[in-house]
Amino acid sequence: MILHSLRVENFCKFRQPFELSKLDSGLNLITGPNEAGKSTLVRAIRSVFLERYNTSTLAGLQPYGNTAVAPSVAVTFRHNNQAWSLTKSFNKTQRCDLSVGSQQFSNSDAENKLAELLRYSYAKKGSSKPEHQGIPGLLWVEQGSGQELSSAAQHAGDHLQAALSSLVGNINHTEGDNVLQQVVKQWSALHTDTGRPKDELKTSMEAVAELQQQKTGLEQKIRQHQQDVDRLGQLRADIARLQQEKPWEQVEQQLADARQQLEIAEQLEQQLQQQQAQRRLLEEALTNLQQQQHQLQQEQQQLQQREQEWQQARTQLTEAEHQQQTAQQQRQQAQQEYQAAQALQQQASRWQQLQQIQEQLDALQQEQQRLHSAAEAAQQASAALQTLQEQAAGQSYPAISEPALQQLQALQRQCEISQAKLDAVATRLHYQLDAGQQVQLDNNLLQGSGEINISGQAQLRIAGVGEFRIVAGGGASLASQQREYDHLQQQYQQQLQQLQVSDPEQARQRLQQQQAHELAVKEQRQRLQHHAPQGLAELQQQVALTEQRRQEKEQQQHALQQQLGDMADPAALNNAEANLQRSDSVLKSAEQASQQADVKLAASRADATAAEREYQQLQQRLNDPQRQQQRQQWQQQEQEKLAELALLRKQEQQQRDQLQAINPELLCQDCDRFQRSIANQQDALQQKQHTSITLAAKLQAEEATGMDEALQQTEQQLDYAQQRLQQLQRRAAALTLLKDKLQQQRQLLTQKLQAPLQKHLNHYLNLLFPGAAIEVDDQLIPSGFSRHGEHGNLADLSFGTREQMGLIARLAYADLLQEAGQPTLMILDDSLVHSDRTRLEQMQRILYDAKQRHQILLFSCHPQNWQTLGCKTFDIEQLSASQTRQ
Amino acid sequence: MSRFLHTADWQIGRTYRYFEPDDASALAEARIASVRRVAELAAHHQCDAVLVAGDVFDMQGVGERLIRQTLNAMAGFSGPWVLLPGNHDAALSESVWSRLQRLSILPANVHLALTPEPLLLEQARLAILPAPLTQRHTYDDTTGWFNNAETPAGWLRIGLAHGAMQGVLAEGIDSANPIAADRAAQARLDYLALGDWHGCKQIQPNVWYSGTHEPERFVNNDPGYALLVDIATPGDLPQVTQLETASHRWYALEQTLAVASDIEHLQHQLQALPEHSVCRLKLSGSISLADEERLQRLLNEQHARLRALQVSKDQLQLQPTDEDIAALQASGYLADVISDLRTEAGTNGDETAAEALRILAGMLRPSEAGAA
Repeated sequence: MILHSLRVENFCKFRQPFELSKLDSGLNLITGPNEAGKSTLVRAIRSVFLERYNTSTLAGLQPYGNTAVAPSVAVTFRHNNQAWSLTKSFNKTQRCDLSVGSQQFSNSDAENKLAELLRYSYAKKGSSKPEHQGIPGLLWVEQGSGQELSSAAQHAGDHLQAALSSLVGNINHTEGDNVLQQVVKQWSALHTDTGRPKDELKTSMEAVAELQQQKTGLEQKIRQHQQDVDRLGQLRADIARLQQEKPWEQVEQQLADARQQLEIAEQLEQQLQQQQAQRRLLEEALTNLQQQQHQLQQEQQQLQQREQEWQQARTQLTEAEHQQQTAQQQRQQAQQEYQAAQALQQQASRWQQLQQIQEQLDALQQEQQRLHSAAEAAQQASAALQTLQEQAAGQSYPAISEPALQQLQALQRQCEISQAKLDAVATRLHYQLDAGQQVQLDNNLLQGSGEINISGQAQLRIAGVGEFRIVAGGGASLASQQREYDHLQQQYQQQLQQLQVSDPEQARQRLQQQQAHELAVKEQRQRLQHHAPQGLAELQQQVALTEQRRQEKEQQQHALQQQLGDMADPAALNNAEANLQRSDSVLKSAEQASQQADVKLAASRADATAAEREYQQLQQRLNDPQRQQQRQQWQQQEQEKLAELALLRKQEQQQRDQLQAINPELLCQDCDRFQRSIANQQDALQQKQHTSITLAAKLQAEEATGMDEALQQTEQQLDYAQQRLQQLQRRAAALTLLKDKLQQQRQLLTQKLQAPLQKHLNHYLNLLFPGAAIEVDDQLIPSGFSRHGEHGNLADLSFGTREQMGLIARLAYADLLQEAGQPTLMILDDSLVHSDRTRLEQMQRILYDAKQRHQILLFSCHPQNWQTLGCKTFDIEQLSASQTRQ
Repeated sequence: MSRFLHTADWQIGRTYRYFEPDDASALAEARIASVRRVAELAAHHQCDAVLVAGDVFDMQGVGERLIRQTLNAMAGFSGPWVLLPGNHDAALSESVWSRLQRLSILPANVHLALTPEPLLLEQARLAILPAPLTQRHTYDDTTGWFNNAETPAGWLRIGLAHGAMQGVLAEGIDSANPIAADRAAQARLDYLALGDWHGCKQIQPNVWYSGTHEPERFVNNDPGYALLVDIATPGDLPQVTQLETASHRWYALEQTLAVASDIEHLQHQLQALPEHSVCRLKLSGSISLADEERLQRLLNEQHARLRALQVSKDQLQLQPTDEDIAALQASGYLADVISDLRTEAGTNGDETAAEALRILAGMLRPSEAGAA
């Protein structure tokens, strides 16, 4: 389909007829600024095709403010080598005329033919909505909606599918999808999303498992029960046999025999024990005899020993006596030495005392000398002081202090200052009288030359001339100054009088004299204080006291010198103390040694006496004749008893042999063994009886539960449950198979179906993004997008890119439609305004490529964006102006 | 003239595995119902006694309720009953019999033959020589003592035993509980009532297996009878009559399906079975999807009509035909899937694929019906 011309009249912006003619079969750029009527033209194309001519509710077609005229649009185009001409007028005059070649159609017929050609439908009522617009809705992109693809593609879906089907072959999708949906639903009834059993399949599996467990449990119980029943039978048979055979009776006879034998043995044993007792008595007596003889021998040996001991004691005694004498001598000697040392020590002590007294005497002499000189000095100082005090007392002037002097000097200065001030304000009278002339001023007589200050009033009298009365200027000030001066002067004179000086200089000299005197007094006092701190009287008393002490010491010295007598060598006295101590310790140890020697001597004497006594006693006893006789008697008795013992031993051995032959120990064991085995056998019987009763009770209790019946029922339930599970599993497997197969086939089919569209998409995509890939979903809408190995959703791309993709997809759809022999017209209203320069360049290449197959009307208010598009351009403003001129 | 009823192998408490639960419980109850019929027959024929030759109970551990139900069912005959322990209910040291005694519910006319000693029924002058099994299996002939058993003169000597008569049944099998083939002659028995073999079978003119009173297997050996035994005087041959006691008859059918008319044939066969029948049907061959649907309808009908119907289709292969596939009217990728499944089910015999096809057919069919 190639659009040749578009003509509008009384249509929105265009009240006057406007025509766009000689449109190119490829790319057409229609430009104009805002308000030029660009969008009106787009609206006109949409209206002439998509709106019903007789729709009463079409708003916005009328020229502005004019409802009286009928908007009309006329287009001419070529399709299938036929010229098509379509005219539609709306609202006021509702009409549609279509001529195709030589055929004429009008109104609804015309519109139906158009809809069939371009594949869209009309709204039943009102203006056309997106859902009616089919292929034009997809290929005619309105301003600002280029990025929105999916809804337009959905509305065109049927037509696109039809086009695909005509290319690929007719494939029925819906039936398979319905079945697949049912299969999935049924499969989901038995499976979770992850394919695990659920609901009935799951419970059925669980039921089988549980029943199997129950069955196993019951079988085990029954097996145990049957074993128990057999055991009970065996037990009862055993009990009956035991009760009949009574096997323990034979053992009881054996026991009786053994006991009889044992009694015999016991008698034998008793006899043996008696014989043994007899023998033991004999042996004891013999031992006594031997012991007594042995004692005799021992006593003989003892005598010798005692003799030796006695000898030894005597030797020790002699030694002790000797030691005692030595110790005695040593003690006496030590005593003498001690006494000598003591005397020496006394002398040394006196000598020392004497020396000390001498030292004290020396010290006293020194002290005396010191006191004498101090007393002398003190007396001098005292006399000087007295003289000074007498001098002071002789003076009649009052004392002058430093502040009084200063005050006087200050007063003098103030008087001078006041005088100066008074002079300054006073009226000054210079006079220079001729020699010999005089004048009288008040009471003063003036001669020669000079100057006089007049304060207050003055009377100048010149003899012969008369009297001048002078009144000083300054008035009050002068008067007060005069008063101040008088006052100060008065104070000053008063002060001088008080101090009895003529001027301050005299006062200062007096003060100096006064200070020198005070200094001399102070010096003499210090001197006195130094030599007699406690006063002169006290000092003199000390002198007397010292003298007294010296005399005492000299007396002591004298007494000691007499005691000492002639002292040969005072150096010999040096070690007196140490000697005394040494002598003392020597004496002490000598005394101790002497004492020990005494004790030892006494003990040795006692030992010697005892040893002698013991020896003599023993000797006396051994020499007793009765003792010899006794000894012979004992030897005889010993022989007799030895013979008797040999006989007894022989007899005992015989009896022991006899007893061993019988072996009573073994017999005892036998008895024990027999008794035990009887008890065991009877116990075993009792045990069996007890077990059989318990077992029977247990079995009876178990039988009451009807285990066999329960098992059979469980088995029956299990069989049924297993059958049911098998059915369910078979069904589940079949559903899984079906689901997988259907989904697989569907996938294959979809791929096959989308192949032509994919081909066209890839063509454009490679121009924009080389190496990128785009995925198409079931509804033929691009969804996934991958580039440089990254995969993402188309919806997540930027606005500009989505707009570019939208255009690419539309071009691909157009290619697909064209391949299916259907008309394609692309209308782009202000597209790609969000693309950057590089992309726009790419898109221009794509559009240029597409124009070889499709007519494209590109409306834009940015002609500069499309300068390299290389196509025919229509400027609406220019066209409109030129057409109006015509 | 004496008359008694010979029955055996009641096996009360037997359960039926591989049956649907309601069928199984109905069949279990039928074993008691048939005991009631035995009692009624005994009363009706004015028998002197009823002899039960072993396996009264199916197992030792039956519940008290079943024991009581059995005794209740026997109440219809007030004459003497003699119950013999068999291998299923052997008189062990602890057994269903000792329990029965402990429960103290045994009526006076019911005699338990638990020991090998003559049991004298005074009124009918019947000396019953029982050979109770006291172990589950024994390889000794427990009837040996019959030979030397003393019985009152002029009384009938009736042997009562449970086991395998030597040389008669299951040749070559080292069967447990043997009974000497000439026991009746050796022990001068007027009649030897045997149990253990579930079919009714005459061994000698005076030696019979009565078989079970109620069939419980698909083995066609004539079960479901009691024997009415008439003996004129001691030494005379007995006159034995089969009396039907079964509630349900059991049938095992096998059918190979190859052509469409085979289903009609099967229908005739099944329809011929009495209503209370228990039937096992083994199907083999191959079947189309359409026929399978017809078959299922038939089986559903019969399942409702018969007491129990067990169908084994293991050997039956689903072989969808072109018509089947065409009938599904599948197009698009669904058709590809169906074609795939058909190959796998038909050619390779894949059961899962066949089941998948059935599911698909089930889904596609209602929409077809809805469209029509």
